[in-house]
Amino acid sequence: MSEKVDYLAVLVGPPGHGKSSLAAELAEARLREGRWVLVQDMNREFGRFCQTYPTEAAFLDVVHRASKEEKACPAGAAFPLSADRVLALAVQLGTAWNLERGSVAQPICVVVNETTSFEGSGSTFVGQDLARILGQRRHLGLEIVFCMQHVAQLPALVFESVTEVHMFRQSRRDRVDQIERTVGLERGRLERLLELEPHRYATWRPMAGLC
Amino acid sequence: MVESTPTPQPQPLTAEDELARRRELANERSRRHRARYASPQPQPYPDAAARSPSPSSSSSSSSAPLPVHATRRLESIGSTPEDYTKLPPHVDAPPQAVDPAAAADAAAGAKQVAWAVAWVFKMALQDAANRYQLGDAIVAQFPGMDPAAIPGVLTAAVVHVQECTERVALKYGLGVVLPYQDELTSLGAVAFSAAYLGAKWSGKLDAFDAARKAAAPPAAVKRAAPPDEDDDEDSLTDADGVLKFRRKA
Repeated sequence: MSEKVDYLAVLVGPPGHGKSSLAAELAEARLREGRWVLVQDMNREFGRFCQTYPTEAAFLDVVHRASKEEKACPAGAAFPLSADRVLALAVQLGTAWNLERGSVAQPICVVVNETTSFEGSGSTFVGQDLARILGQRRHLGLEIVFCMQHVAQLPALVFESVTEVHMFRQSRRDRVDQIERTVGLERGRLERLLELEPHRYATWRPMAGLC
Repeated sequence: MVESTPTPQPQPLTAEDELARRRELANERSRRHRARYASPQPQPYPDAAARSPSPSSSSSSSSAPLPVHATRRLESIGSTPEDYTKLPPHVDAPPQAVDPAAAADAAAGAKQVAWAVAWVFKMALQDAANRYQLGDAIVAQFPGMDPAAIPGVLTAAVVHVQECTERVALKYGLGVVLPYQDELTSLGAVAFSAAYLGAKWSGKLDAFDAARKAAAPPAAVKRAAPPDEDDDEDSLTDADGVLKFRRKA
């Protein structure tokens, strides 16, 4: 049975203010809903509920053996690798499990926990895999969560497809301005981000606004 | 008679006057700038109306409080990896990871040989009279290569060629999925031959033959001429018309 997959979340805030905690909440919720979850985990924070693999090959080997023996394996996988590699793995699995079969039977949630580790990190660079993900994520069955410190770390193209933005404390007024411009809020609407305590965040969704 | 009053000519400014004039202009710009940012009515961004809900919504009002949520602490998550398990889907051949470091080092030489082999296949298919032996051709392509290493390298090269052309071989019904991005530049005869050899090496020849009969072959395929009965020793192909190679004596 094909599932409808359309989730692209962006978490923005400085280190130590709760992005990883929220990303973990979102990842665990996806696991409870029966999705596969791949996490880019450079800081080894997701090993509590995700199986950690040193390389993509180690994970694929476990999956292949489980498939052959018709046994279940952990649906959450964490990788201490660069974002490019984890996204490439997600595209690989999405192609084999969903795109090639013509339906999304195995939704996959990818959590990119450190966008600075993209090979070409910056607001104008769109790598081949990222461009493909943005254009084909529904067909590949991919849901994506990006964690970053500044909105400029991701191309503007991402924000045209985003389904929710979670904003943590900002230390500078120009950063707040940038977020307001990126999501299309009036100036000053997010001024309170300058005073938020750690582990507090605001959420914006297209068509629903701040909620 | 009315005497006209001469129009007073503007006096040229002194340096001090010019400096004062410029200072006053700068101060006026700063006052306007501060007045704009101190305004109680913030100016909307040009595209705010396109992205945000209607102005009547309370959440878009600058005076409305900002809804704030709290996260759970990472340490409070008590689940383990075994709490969430799934049965992976079955695929005929699983996706294989490509280790970038390994691909850069170990596979570089095999990849070069694969291209050389593909070139030789193409030449052999196009010209049955071509008497190149595959091993000789590879040695010619890479001077200094140990001929004794050729069989092992050729095996790896053929598999690599097969994998590179997998996306073409899919239409022959092999059903193998390997997400290689590279494609050989001449997919016609080379792909067909490489896919055939790959099927033979991996024991899927029956499936390949059945799919081949069901599918139309590529227009560019040229099969090598069948070996002469009296020239078996030097033939470039075996009884099936498939290219063979011999170790150099």
